[in-house]
Order: sequence, then structure tokens, then C-alpha cells
Amino acid sequence: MTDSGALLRVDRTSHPDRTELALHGELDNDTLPIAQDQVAAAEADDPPCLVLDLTRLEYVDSCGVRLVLLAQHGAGEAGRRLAVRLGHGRTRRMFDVLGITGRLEVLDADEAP
Amino acid sequence: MGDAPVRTPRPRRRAGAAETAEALARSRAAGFQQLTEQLSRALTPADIGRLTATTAAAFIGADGCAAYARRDGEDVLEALHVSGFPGDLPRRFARVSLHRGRPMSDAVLSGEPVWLEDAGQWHARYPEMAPYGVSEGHEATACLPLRVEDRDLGAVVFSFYRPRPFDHDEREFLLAVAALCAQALDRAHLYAAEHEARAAAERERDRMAFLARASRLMEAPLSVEERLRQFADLAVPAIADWSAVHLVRGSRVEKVAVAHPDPAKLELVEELERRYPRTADEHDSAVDVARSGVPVVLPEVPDELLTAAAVDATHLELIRGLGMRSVIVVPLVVRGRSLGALTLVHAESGERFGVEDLTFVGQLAATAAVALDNAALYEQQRLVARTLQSALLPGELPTVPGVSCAGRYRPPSPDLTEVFVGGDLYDVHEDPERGRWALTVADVCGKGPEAAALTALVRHTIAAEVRHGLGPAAVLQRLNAAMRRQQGDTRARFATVAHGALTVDPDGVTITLVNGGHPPGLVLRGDRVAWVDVPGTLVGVYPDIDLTETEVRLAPGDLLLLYTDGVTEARGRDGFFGPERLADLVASFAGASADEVVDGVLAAVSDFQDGRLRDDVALLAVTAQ
Repeated sequence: MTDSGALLRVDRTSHPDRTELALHGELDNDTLPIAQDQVAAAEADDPPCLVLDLTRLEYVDSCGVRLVLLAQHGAGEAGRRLAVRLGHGRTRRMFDVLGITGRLEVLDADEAP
Repeated sequence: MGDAPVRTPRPRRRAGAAETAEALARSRAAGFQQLTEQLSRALTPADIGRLTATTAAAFIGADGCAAYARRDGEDVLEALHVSGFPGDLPRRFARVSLHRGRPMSDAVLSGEPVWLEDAGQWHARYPEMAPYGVSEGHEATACLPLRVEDRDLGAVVFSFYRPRPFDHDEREFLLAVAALCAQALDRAHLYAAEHEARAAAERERDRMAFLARASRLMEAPLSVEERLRQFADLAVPAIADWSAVHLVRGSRVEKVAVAHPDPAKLELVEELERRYPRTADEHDSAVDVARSGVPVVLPEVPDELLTAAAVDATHLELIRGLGMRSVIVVPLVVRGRSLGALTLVHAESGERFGVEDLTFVGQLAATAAVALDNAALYEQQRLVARTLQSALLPGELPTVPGVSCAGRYRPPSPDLTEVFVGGDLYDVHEDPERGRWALTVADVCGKGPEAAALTALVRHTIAAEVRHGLGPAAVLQRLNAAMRRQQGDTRARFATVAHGALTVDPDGVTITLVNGGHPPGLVLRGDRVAWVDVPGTLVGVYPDIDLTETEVRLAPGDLLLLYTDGVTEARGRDGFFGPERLADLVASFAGASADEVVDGVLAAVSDFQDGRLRDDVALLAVTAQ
């Protein structure tokens, strides 16, 4: 078993208008539960907008998409905005191929929601 | 032990009595000191016995001496050392049963010394024993019990060629010497007990360490057979000379491991089994224990047992050659079921197994049994996974006239994932009514039973909708609805699906392709590769999905390759496999068959990850003929 705790780090920044979660490291099947816990904790504070920043990940597979879809589902239920930062590299291409970029509020690097 | 001889002070005649008494007292004091020193250096009861029968006897001027020890509570005295007695007396009185009416027994049983000053007293008081007591000219005898507090340690017998008046001083002197010997003997017993206790503690510690090693071995990533072989090897010579493991397999009990440090001995076992194969009705303790679950301990293996087991003289010779002296066989029991037996044998070491070893050997067997049970459960799980996996993939692709199809699936390496049921699938379905064939490559995200259930849903929904005559986009719309129904509220499991309807005409093949969020397909024409980039939404999450149908035309010799992201997302030392590497690779397969292309891609992806796949891979290639 890998020590998945060391492979994924989630930094949380609270702003008046939003809470941002910046993910660092690797997001895959092993680390998805950690990310989910962090998202759930941020959601519990009921921010008006939750931003998931996936641009700093070294690796992300379809589990990153699951994380975003779960957060999107939760946001829909709670009447909250969800935005994502995908950058312009592999992560963005993955979301493009999956045909869901247009269904998400996608922010640029320093763009506020 | 180089003990200095103790000077022997002889009681002198009456002349100068006071002077002589003083000299005697001095020399006795010096003698006591020397004896005390020598005794203090002696460690074992045998040493004490020897010093008592030699040094102490010389000190008091005895001509013969026998020192006896009494074991706790036993009515037998055992000679520690005998000297100065003639003929076979020492051998004859090596072990003496306590028997009232005999001088030494009386001394031991009453705790009071028995003094016999000459042959007359012998004959008067112990007529039965007198012939031994006064043989070869012995006259006086003192039988002194060896006691310390209430501990009855034995007795010492001093014998003299001359009659000896045991007056008060003399008695005090002899009793003091005996007390010295008794104390030394007591100390030696305590020392021996402590030594034994320490040895027992060390043995226990060694056994615990051995159990820990066995436990670690049982967790090693090895096959069950290999683990048990190493387990058997570990036992020799640490805890036995021979070890063997038997396993119950259905109605049979099979030996899976046998170990001895000497390869020549192992060859002997092989020869034995080759020349005298075991028959079903033959008695075999390992087999009996494996079946019954009841352990067997044979502290001694009597030769009659070997004789009875032997078929003929040669057989007997071979069995004897194993040198079995002592045997313990314990069942491998887990959850009330006996899975086999562990046999340990002491041979050339000369050691013995006893009932007291059952606990330790039983613990050892339990370690192996639990590991075996876990391995069996794991195997069972893998079997379920394999069965499930095979239900998710076509056994054989249907024959499509005018087209060659080839599909491949490879699960992730077992050492990188736990029991795995994959989420990737490929399939080819026939729509006979419309003369079409449906191609599918799909990837359900995640793994485990939930992903497997969705994968099955994907496969069967597509097959059913294709037979209903729906076009590719409509098939995926139906699939999207079915997945959303199946998942209920938590709609985060999605699938990406590349799906097409293929029709064959005299000039080639036309495929109407839709893509539900799946990696783009590749078309190989000659040595040129083109991407079939068709936009579309992943399946199973959103109520409405965007799908575009695109037509792909394959002339004879052209090839379409569909794949899952286990190919492009594969990570190796050179980073990601990526779409460009895939395009270059496919281009290099110009003129190759569909089978060659899928095998080639699979091999390249596997090599790229040093043979260890992190994610599963599905591939489907079609070539127009």
C-alpha cells in the first residue's frame, strides 16, 4: 500500500466570495478519498462559491473528473456555484475529450469567479 | 578441577592428649577451610558428590565413601560418586530404593545419622545388610543424611577399615563435614534449577522468535506451495531435524513440502517414495492427523513400529536410514477445519518431542493454517473476479464478412492493484435485421464491484439496443438513461464510449461513429494515420448528452483502431505514452493485420511501463478486406 497521504495535498483558501481548494500531487483512485474529504469539509462551510484548482496536479486521471462531477452535483443540490481551474495542459485536454468543459464554469489561472 | 589434596589428620593415641587435641583442632580447621573452598567452586551435584566421596572422605580419614542424591519426593537414592568400595558394590548400589531397616534408608527417612562402630554392630543391627557393610574388611560405617532445612537431598556413607568409636566430638566433626556437603549440594541444585529456568526462558524466547519468522514468511508474496516449502525449510534444523507439510486436497491428502538440512537425506525420502509408493489404505500419521485434526506425539519411535510399517527388508533399511527418533504431528486447523498437517521429527540431534511441545508446535501450525486460509479466500476472490471479468468481455468476436476484427483486453498487473474487475470493454454485436455490425470500446471509470456492475450494464444495454435497430447516437442516449437510472442520486460514475455501426459494401466499409467522451480513434491508411476526432459528452451523468455521428470510410486494407485511455495515459519512465507516440506506433504497422496491430500496441504499452500495467487496456481494430 502506498502512503497516499504523501501523494496528494489540498490547500484551502477562504475568500469572502469563495473557497478555493488547490490540489497538489497525484489525484487517482488511491488519493480520491482524501480529495473527497477535503471537498466535503469545504462544502460544510457553505461558501457561496467553491473553486477547485486542478492546475497544480502532477497527475490526474478520470478520478479528477469524478471529483469535479461529485462537487458539481453537490453544488446543484445546495444552490452553490462550482468553478474549476483546469489550465491549458493535459487536465484541460482530458475534460475537453470527455465533452464536459462546456458544462463547467472554467476559470483561468488568476481569474476570480 | 585441580583440587589440592586435603591433609588427613588421623586421631592419635592418648599420649599428650591436650597437645594432640589442639593440633587436631588446628588441622581440622585448615581442612574445613580447604574443603569449603573446593566445594564452593563445584557447580554440579556430580562435582559435589565427587568432592564428598574423595576430598571430604580423605579429610575425615574414611576408607570408602558413597554420596547419594535423592530426587524430589522420590523413594530412590542415586549414587553421585562412590569410592573405596570393593568389587561390584558400587554398580550394585548405584540406585538404592529407600527401605526401612537398612542403615542409609533409616538415616534418610528418619533424618538421624546411623552410627555403626564395628562389624559387631553391623551384624547386630543390620544382619541382612552386614555382608555388604563389612565386606573386604570394612568395619565402622557412618550413614549421614544430607539435609538443608527441610530439603532432603540424599545421604553420605563413610566407611572405615578399622572399628571407629564415634564419640561426641567425632560425630560432631562428621556431621559438620556432611552439613558442608549438603549445603554445597543444595546450592548446586538451586544453581541447576536456575540454569534450567534460564535455559527454558531462552528456549521460549527462541521459539517466539521462530514464530515471528514463520509469521513473516506467511505474509511473503509467494504462492501457497512456495510458502509452505520455505516454512518447512525454516523448521530445520532450528526446531527439528525433519519437517513436512501435508495438505488436504479434496478427498486426498498430499505432501507439499519435506525438509532436512542434508540433501542426501532428502534423496533418501525420494528414493523411498519412488520405490515404495504409498497405497491408499496404508496407515500414515500425517494423513491421519490431517484428516482427524487430532495431534499425535511420539516421544520415542520404537524400532518395532518401523518393522511393522516396512514392506520388506530393503524398505525397513530405507526407513531406518531416516533416523526418526521422536515425532510430533499437529493439524493445520483454522475455523474448526483441518487443512493439513505439520510433521516435525527429531533424528540425529537425539532430542525428543513431548506433550509439552504441543502448544508451541500447535501455534506454529496455526500460523501456517491462517495463512493458508487467507490464501484460499484470496484465490476464491480472484476466481470470482476472473469469472466476472470474463462475463464482461466477448469470448470470441463474431465473424464479420469482408472485415477482420481483433480485440484485446489486459487487466492491470496483479502486484499493482488488489483483486481487480476491470471497467474497460470491447465488443462487436450483430444487427442481423439491418445487416449492420456494432463496434464498441468503453471505459467505466473506477474499479471494483460497482464499476463492474456498470460495465456489465454498458455491455448488455448496447447489445440490446443494437438489436432493437437503434443508430449509434440513439444507442448511447439509451445507455446514458440506463446508467443514470442504475446509479440513482450519486451520478459520478461515468463511462466513455466509442461506438459505431459498420456496414460492408463491395468497395469497403463504412462506420458511423459516435463518441461519448472517449479518446479519439485512429485510422491507418497505408502508412498514414488520421485521428477521428468526434466531440461528445461522457455517458451516465448528465440528463442530456451531446453526440455527433460521423462517417468513417475504410477502403480495403484500411484500419480503424479504438482504444481506452489505459493506452494514452500509460505512465513510464519517459512520461506519458500519449497520443503522438500511439499515432507513430500505429503508422509503423502499415500493411499489418488487425491482430498484429492490437498485439503490437498492447506489447508497446506494456513495455513502456516495464511490463507492469497500472490501468487496464482494451483495444479493438477493424480492417476492411
